[in-house]
Amino acid sequence: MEDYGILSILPPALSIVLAVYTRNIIFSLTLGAFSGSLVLSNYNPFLAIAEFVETHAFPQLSVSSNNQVLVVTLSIGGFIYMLDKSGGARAFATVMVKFIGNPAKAKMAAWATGLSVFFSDSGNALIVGPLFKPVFRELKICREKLAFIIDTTASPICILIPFVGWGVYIMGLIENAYADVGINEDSFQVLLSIWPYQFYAFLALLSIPMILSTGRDFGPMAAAQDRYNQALRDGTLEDEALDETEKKEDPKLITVLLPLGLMLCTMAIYIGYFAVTDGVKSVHVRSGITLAYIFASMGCAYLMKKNGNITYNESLNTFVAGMQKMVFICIVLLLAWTLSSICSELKTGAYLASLIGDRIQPSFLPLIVFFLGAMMSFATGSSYGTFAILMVIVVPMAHEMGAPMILSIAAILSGGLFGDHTSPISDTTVLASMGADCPHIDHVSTQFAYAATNGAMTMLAFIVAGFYPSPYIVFGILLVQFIVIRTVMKLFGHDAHGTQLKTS
Amino acid sequence: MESYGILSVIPPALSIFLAVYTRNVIVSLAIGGLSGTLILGGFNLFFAPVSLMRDHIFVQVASPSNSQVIMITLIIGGFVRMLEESGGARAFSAAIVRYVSSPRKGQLATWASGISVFFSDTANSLIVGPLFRPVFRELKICREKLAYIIDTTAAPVVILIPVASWGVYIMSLIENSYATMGIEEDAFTVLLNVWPYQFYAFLALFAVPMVISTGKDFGPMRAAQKKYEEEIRTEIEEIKTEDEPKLIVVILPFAIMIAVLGGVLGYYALTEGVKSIHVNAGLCLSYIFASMGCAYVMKKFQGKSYNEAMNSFFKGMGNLMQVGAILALAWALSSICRELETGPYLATLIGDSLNPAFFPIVVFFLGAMMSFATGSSFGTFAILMATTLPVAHILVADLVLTIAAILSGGLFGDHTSPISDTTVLASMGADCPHINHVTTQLPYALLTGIMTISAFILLAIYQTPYVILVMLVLQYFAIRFVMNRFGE
Repeated sequence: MEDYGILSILPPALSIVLAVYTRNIIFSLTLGAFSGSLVLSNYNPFLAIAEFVETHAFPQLSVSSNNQVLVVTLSIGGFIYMLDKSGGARAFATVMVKFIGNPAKAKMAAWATGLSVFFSDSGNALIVGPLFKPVFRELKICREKLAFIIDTTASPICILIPFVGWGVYIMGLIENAYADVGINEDSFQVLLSIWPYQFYAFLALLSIPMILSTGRDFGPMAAAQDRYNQALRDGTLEDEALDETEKKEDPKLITVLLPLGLMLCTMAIYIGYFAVTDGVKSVHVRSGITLAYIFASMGCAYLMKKNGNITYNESLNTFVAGMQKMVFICIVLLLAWTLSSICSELKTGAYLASLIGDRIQPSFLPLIVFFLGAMMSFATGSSYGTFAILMVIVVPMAHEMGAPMILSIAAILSGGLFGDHTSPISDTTVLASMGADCPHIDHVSTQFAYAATNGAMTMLAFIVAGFYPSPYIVFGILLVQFIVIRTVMKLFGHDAHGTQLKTS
Repeated sequence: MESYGILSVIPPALSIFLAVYTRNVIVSLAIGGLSGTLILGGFNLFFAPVSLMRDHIFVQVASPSNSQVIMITLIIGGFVRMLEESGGARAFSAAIVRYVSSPRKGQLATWASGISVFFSDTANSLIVGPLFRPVFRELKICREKLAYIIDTTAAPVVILIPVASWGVYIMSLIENSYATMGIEEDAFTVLLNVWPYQFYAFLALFAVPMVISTGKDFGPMRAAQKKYEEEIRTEIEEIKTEDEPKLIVVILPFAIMIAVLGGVLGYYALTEGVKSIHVNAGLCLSYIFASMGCAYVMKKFQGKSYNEAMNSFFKGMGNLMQVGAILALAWALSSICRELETGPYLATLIGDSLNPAFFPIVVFFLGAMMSFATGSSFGTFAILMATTLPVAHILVADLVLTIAAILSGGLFGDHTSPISDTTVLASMGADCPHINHVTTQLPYALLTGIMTISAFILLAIYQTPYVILVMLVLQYFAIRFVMNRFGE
């Protein structure tokens, strides 16, 4: 086996540069991987193209775990789309709104509703946002706050649930990266052990009740609230008609409870069954998940037939249409696997590790990875793309350096999430602005201060974890975060309702 | 290995029955497959779905050749969509339309355009139909005739091109079936062997110019034409002559496609021989590069950004998702049938009573009925390849002929079936009432069907690839005779 040296970092480096520059993850991954196969085939462009497809893309596609991930991803897509169409998700959130006894708790309720829509990130912003818009309006809270809340409860909650699209996607990447470095460990178990180290997700989620409990705001958010109050006083706030009333009869709650119930039951039964018999392996998890989503979709179809008079054939078409929406993600996955197969042949990880291995302590690797992930994700606006590229580089590197593997993967996830959360070009950020109906730039700037606080806390957590890896760190850091938020609010914060209270 | 006897027939039988009854191929295959895993798992209701997923669907989709097929199918979907959006497909036909003057020439031009759009059956109907509608109106030919021509040049052309989506699909089914029977033969080679025996496709294709050349029609088609001439339509239709797309729009992508495919296949032909994986890789690459050509053209002439072009590529891929799902389920069904030993069981039933030479005729009938009833030739191919090929193997019937009979039968049923998607698309493309299209087309298609049966009978006696030539001459005389006798 020859040594490719510096050339071995060409594929991932090219992918990253192109991703940042073109913001097109598919294009970047393709060119990056292609550059790798060019190196491998001694710069014979003709052979490189053929090799690219034959020895990397095709074999990766037929690795059974990869394939299963694609099947699961597609069936999740179908289910989410059906739930969307059946109006079930809306019904669910509507009921949550009804439970707000005390209107002052609306913000907390928005948070709780966001948490409960754990099955879809885009659905989260688009469902919760419009539902709470009138409530926030009534309470004279600025839209930016709503956008912040729904943006924060979108991706961070999805990444913490192992059986929704995010978990499956991440598992697919981990499994592949592990196979390339020769670690034989079940990806589902890995995902579970990473769970307590997903600092950014936890911190972001729990920062909301912490901030809300202070009843204050600081920085751009306080300014936004001031502006909003000013506009209210001046009456310049465009009084958009309350067109929300035109919504037809509320879809019944059962349209969401039955499918979700079916899904959870099927999953619990199958996973439980295998846990008792031959241990929970990824393949069981995936069959369980696929079946769960398919049964849930059938439940959906039944209800749509019953309540909405939609034929089973139409439902099936809806399901297939939902699958179509997942094609993009499937392609990204396939390309990421291909890149990873090429990198493992080029020994990229080993080279990178030898390059920086002596200069830094392995314990600091997670921190560096977090920075890298955050920057990449911020620049590309795509956490999925960031995960895909970084997993390929970081896992082999951590393996060579003897750095804590679990922490490094957790750092990829946290970094990608953080960048995605703060990035103005990320789709989840855009969706949150859309859902809350506030100017996109306002949402980005008001959110940034809060997200940056969480980011700083996350870094701190990774430093500590690098030296004392313990799942309990997250508790410690939550406590620190609580204190920090309290202090910041005391020092710089204004009353969350600003001057509005005094004047009215 | 225990023997399941009559139970082993349940999964395919149930699939066929449900496909006829519900007209939904996905559900039928899924339930059929489930019944199979239920039988295999000793009627353990709890375990059957998991087993279907884990032991059959996951395994089948992960097999290298199957996953490659799905990949190619999706990529072709993307390419076709881009070609439609770039106006390339229209440009292609527009070039031919220039030389049309008489009704006969008009119809022949339609036929030629239909043949030239060989890469997709649905694109065929939807591109050629709208393009020739104004021509037909000018030449005073009824819409039903247009629908007949485009329907006939849709599937039968595509099935004859081994590198188009149908060829890829059929190859995958053949490969799968052969693997089940333990025969080592390259699917591409088999497909090439089957080629001269695809009677229905050839006969249907050439029936069109034969019919046109007589200048006459018979049966319902004549009635439709008469009715049309009487009520010469006056309604104003969209004659929006959009700026004609430039020919380069289509030449560039196709030139790229052919160059890349030729390059890859040629390279491997010289070095290590053309295997299925090389064909698949070549197809993937050629369609991807052709799509890039499309994207370039779209950027240049329509000002569409590359990102937009990429999005339409993905949309096209998504459009074929249903085909992907059908494929996965059909593969699973075939793997279940293998485990249940359905083929061997069926062979023991009819093994003694049947002369192997006549087996293809039986299969042709079976295929025609199934395809007519379900409206899906793809579904028919999938079920029959999984069930009849092992039987043929055991009966020592000719496998190539059996495959040809499956294809001809499926195509015939699909062509005549009112619920087939290609039939529906042809009516849509020609903009004529669907039932009119079905009834006017039926006598012509039946004529071709009878010729096909005769061909298979003839083949049972003299097996030679030249049978097709004899049949074409016979068909020519038959059409002449019918037209002189009943036509006008």
